[in-house]
Amino acid sequence: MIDFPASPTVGQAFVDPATGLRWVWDGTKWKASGLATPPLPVPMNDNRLINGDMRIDQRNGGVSGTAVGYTIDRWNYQGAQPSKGGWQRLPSGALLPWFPYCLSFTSSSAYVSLATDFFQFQQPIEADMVSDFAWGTASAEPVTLSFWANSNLTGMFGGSVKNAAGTRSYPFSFSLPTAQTWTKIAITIPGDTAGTWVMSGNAASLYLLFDLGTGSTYRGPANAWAGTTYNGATGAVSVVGTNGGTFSVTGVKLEIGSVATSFNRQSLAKNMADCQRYYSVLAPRFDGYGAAGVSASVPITYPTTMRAAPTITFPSSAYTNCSALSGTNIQTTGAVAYVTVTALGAFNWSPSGGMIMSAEL
Amino acid sequence: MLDFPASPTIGQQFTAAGVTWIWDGAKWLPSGLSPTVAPGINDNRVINGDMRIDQRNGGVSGTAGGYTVDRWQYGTNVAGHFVWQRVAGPASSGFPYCLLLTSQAAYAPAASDGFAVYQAIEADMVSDLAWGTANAQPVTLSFWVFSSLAGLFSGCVRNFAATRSYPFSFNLSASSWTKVAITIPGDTVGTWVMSGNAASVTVLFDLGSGSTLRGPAGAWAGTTYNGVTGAVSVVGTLNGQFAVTGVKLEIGSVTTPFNRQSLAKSMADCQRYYQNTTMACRSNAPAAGAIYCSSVAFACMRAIPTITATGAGSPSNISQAIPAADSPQSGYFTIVSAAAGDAYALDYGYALSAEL
Repeated sequence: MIDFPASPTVGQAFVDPATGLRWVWDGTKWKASGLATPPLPVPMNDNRLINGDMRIDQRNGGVSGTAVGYTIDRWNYQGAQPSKGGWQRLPSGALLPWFPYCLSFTSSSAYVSLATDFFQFQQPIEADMVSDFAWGTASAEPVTLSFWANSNLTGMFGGSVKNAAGTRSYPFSFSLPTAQTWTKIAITIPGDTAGTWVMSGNAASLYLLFDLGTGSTYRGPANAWAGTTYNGATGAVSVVGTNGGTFSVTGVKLEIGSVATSFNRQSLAKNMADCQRYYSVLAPRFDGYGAAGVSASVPITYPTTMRAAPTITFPSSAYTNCSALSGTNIQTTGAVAYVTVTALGAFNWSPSGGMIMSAEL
Repeated sequence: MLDFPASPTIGQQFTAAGVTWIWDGAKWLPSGLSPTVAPGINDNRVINGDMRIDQRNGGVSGTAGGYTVDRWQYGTNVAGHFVWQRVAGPASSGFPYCLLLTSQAAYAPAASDGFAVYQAIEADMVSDLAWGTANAQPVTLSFWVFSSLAGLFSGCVRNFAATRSYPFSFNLSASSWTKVAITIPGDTVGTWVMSGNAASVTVLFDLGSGSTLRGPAGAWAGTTYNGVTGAVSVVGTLNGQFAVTGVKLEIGSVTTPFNRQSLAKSMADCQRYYQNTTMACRSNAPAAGAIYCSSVAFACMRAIPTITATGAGSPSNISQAIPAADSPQSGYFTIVSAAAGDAYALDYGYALSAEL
């Protein structure tokens, strides 16, 4: 609260120590006349999304893909029909220099979605990351979603926030009035006081979705909580409906409260660790000497502790005098890889495709 | 400028720039704003600005050019003029560590000589500065600094290619810690690497560079400057001291408090560029020449690191011990047996570097 001086004279100046604003009395009212000192930045809330600026792309390193599943780190593409488009981490371009990377989808046909079709980018958020939202209780807090979006189409686009069970969803819409123009969007979503929400633990709590052309069954009225699965808002633009249609997004932030605050510029080490809680790739190898039939083992430590004991895969392995690679004793911090020695002598295993640990939601 | 309605009635509301004001009969009061809200804290783009992390030296002094405490380099083209060391800082200001550089002679630098302590920042850490574009954002550099000398000191912010420089200056009293804050306009021209894992912005403190490497303060220049013409030359005075800590580079034109981050995060930030590790491998060899290999994992680094031995370890019955990194976060350690029997290499210390 500003406590202006009483009985001011015309032209009297007053500097508010809290904001740095300089006020001048014009005989009738106090008028702001610029800043006596530069404004302090608005406090920044924490971002509950990971890799909202699309910097980390452990799987693809910027290479495109068309498959459903994870694209860049933490961002998942889901499509009910195959081959309707491709995704890729792309440069955002000179018009958005603050966020050099974006996640982009390009439609490969003019597809008319069936009622139960769905196409979306989404990110699940772990429950312990959003416990203070208190959704599903009378104390539910509002959240604000902010992001930069761009499309070569124009109109009203959509998305939703929903629970992991798909029993509660809040479709939202946003306008991209000019094609191929980055637009900053901020949407405040009231906390959901109803429904069942997982709000603690390491399971998925809520999903954020950007709708790319979902069918009518999974679209509903914008700006209202519904007791069903909606991926987007009724009537929103269908990107998959236009051959060559694009949708790009970056700078995505989900925060508590009803105000959009600045995007958090975190260190690359922290961002990488955040992502590696869910997915990482190692390139281990194992050389040894053993007798036929012996199970030889090598301990492997992950780069960071993972959300849960991961699923370990070896896309391709090169064996010399050994076989049957497997991972056992899989924990959240490490595992043991085993091979079976073929014959007495030196053996070698190297996973040319890497050792992939996934503890995604 | 806010143009409030004339002749308001008590309780009348007026909204501008997202703030609603209410006339209380005597003055306009903002509603919904709490005077107790803490100011925002911008992110610091400098790593180890409080000099806490010193993986290489653990507080031991050095004289060589290169890295001192984590992320901070001492650079010169003339060897043997400074001793650098992490020492006690202005603890009463909340910084128990600082990086101290002490001159070893009264040296008059040649025109092209350079003496500086600096940190290069990775491009993906400063993308939003948008330097080199019309959208270039200002930044504010703040730090605590000390010298045994008094006068006008200097430094610069520049691009890694050193084709764009912004010299700045600051005044110090002798033997007194001073908080300095300098706002630097964004550079709208020049070539800046603003994304990817290469170096972008360099923050540099000048310790006595020659005239070729000094220029006018407060202006961007299309050349390499380390500091400001006429600034104090620490290297010019025997035992001249310069110490700095609490270094923060942030977006905007306001200085916000230094970010007090967890030690785990600060260490991880540093280990993206440098870390120490120990490797070991052991097996029972059937004969000479048997090869054994153990996997090694480490904190994810900026790029695949180079490996340098830092300790001999404890070998037995081996002819070779070879470390290797094959990704930014993993590698392997290979030993070759010298004869039949127990063969091992234990506690082999290595430094992993992916510095800019």
